[in-house]
Amino acid sequence: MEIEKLAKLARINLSSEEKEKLQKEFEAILGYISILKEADTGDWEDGFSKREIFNATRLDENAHEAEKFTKDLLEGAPFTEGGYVKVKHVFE
Amino acid sequence: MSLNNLTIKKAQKLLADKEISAKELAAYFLKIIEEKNKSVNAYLEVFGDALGEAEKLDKEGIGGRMLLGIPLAVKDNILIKGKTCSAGSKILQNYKASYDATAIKKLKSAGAVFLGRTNMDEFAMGASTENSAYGVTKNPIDLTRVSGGSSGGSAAAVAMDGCLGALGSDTGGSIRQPASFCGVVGLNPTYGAISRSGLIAMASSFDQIGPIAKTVEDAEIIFNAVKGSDPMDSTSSSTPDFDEKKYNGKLKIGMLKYDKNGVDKEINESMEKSAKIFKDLGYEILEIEMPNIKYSVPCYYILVPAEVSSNLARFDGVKYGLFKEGKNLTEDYMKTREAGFGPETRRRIMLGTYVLSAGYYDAYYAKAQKVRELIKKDFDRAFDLKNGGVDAIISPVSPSVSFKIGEKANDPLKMYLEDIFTAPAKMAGLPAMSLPVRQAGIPSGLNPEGLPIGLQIIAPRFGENLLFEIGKKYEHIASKNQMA
Repeated sequence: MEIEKLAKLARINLSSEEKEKLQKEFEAILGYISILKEADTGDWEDGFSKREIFNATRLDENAHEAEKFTKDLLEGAPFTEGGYVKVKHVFE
Repeated sequence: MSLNNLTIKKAQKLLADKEISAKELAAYFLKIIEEKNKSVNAYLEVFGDALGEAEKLDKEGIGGRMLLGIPLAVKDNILIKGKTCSAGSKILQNYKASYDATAIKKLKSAGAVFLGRTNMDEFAMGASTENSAYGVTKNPIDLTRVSGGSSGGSAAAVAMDGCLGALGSDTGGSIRQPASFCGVVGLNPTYGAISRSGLIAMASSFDQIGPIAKTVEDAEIIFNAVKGSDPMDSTSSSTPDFDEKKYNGKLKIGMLKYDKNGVDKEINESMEKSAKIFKDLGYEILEIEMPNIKYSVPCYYILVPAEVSSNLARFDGVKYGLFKEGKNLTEDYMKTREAGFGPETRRRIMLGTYVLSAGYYDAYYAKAQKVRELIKKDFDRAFDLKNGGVDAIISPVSPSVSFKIGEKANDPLKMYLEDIFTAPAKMAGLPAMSLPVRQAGIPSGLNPEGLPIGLQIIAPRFGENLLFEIGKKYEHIASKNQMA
């Protein structure tokens, strides 16, 4: 398994010791998980479509007044400027 | 006046009769916390304004408020406006909540007093609180053992008499297992029964807020104060039909058939004893087999890491929490997340990223979703009363009693197997309660070392009232036996 590639996808720096450790642990965990292959899920499509699953949406109305929560929310951000969260360039 | 063995129910009476003030009550528990928290580490923070808030409530008067003056503890992943909320993580060490969770709003309007926030496994991932960035919560009954997890701080706070009740959260067993390890009552409500607005998300198709308390009745009181639909949580149920459900007559209880190997002998025996108690109560006991629930834990450890990897993507050092500087934006993310997340959180994010990645998605995530449906069907059949089904299912809560600190900390798979009895109900979004085992003659079931054993009762969706009714009757046996 490409631990290195996964770490990059997950945006986490990992030490080489941790990468090695994870490799071993993943083998054990994935080995245990593989029991799912035995489960007979042949008739799943039917069962799933019968369940009442629906999207819960609300109407796009009654918006709160602008900037009502801005100050409270920005207080948590490490860097702000002029009422915005400040980040480094996304594209270099 | 002795306040030993005080329950919410008894405290409500004392407060209503003006035998005690909310301030005196809060002071009583704050003193216990001061004595015991250093060794137990149940609370990460005791709120400096608790006494003042209690005094304010005394001035406002009793009114009709459900929880007026009742001192409660809150798990560190539930937002209280203006207070630090760290989810047991370094990445949120200095995060101050910008709003109240809906459950907190409801408790505030019911008049509850918040004593402090309680320790937990980081982002609620774990079964022992050993994954907390702020140290383990020890079991108040035996300080060399864990309090369970992830809501170990809340369970220990109740067990050490450091509050009258607490909020926890349950994703795979995080309310029920610590409640069972600490000898208290814990309820994982039906998925959608309590709003999760303001609960820091771990795995959104599983997470639920629920109460931990000393008695079933107290858990019911807290549950009733916080339940109900909420426009701020689209997954909260708009048809909370638990209010109308009443249960009478001869109930059928299904005793779950499970592999007794790998489960403590005393726990296996306790199941027989509990079955006898239910028989004596006039219930019918049937053995019940559910062929697919053995897949619950493997299924859980695909679906939950998958949801974790996407939910925790928000912790990037930009919007809130810890920030570690790198050479560019991507490096900022990578360094921040390396420094902020602990080992189990990193492990689950990585595992989730793996099972969701192209080429593996069908074999893992899609397959697990299908198996989840099989498990739901097992429960549908088990609760189908017209076809030989039962009203409720009983099983152990955990395969062992509270284990030694460090015993399982270095083996993630071993820790995952703690969820073997608690994960199935979560697969189907069902309510399940953990309560201390009762035995004839002694007030609570304990193993030879004096450690508590829990019993789990699982009900159909919105069957909370059934759990409360069965639980109260079961609890009552103990006090009757004690008096006889």
